[in-house]
Amino acid sequence: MIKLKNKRANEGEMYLSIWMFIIWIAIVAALAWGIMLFNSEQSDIRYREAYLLSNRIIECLADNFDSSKAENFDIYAAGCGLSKAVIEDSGDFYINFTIRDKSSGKSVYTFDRGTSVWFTDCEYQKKNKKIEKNFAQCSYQTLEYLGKNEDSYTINILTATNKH
Amino acid sequence: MITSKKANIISETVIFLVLNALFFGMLFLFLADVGKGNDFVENVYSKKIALTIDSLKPGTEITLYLNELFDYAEKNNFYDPILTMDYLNHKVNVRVSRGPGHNYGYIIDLKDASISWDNLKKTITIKT
Repeated sequence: MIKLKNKRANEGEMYLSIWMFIIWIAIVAALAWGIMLFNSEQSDIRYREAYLLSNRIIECLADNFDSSKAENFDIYAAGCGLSKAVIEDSGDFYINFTIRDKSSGKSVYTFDRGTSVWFTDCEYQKKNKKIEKNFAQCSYQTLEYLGKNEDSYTINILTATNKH
Repeated sequence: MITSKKANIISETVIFLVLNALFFGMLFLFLADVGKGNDFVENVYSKKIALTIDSLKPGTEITLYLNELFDYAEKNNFYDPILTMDYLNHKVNVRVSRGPGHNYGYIIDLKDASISWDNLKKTITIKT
């Protein structure tokens, strides 16, 4: 009887040590997963990239856009330095902007290129004031500027990226 | 009989403590590696450099002080170029070890850009 008890106790110790190792492995896995998640969060620059892109476009429009020649305006040839292949063919970006005459509200120039399905992602996040990590990250900017002919214009720009 | 039982308990405790020490030592090393390993550094720096390039206007020259990046490469005995540019595909590649490194794309056309680095000053200069 005593022998049997000791045998069971030994078996229990054996199982306990196996469980101990399983728990250790689980702790390591959980910590590694946590660190990787933290790192990926730290290195998520999608919003910054979208914001940088919109700033670059705004600067370019302010320097180069002439409403009297709006029909022939080509953002890729205007000295903005943007790569057409990257913006339109890579599938990593979406750009949508409209330039309106401030006094009449009439649209002077519209640009909509890239992965346009992200428009709904951006609108959803904007409407709900919530950032969805699995959606494309978006930057909205609205500003007014004085054109070359002393006319005031309003630019509404949306840029988005889901590049990893 | 009592002495051998005591000795048995002591040796079990010692083994347990040694195993624990080994486990936590390995855990510490593993987490230190995962926390700031080569992959993470390459990933972060390729993105930082791509963002810097995206913010440059044509005709700009910028010098980046990348001590940490050069130190990682030195630590890995890696003396090849840590930064390479793929102008055709608009990509920056950062490597601090023998692996493939990490690629990240930039959005501007950099046809006439040039990259140079100084291993002593631990700097990279980008001209657009």
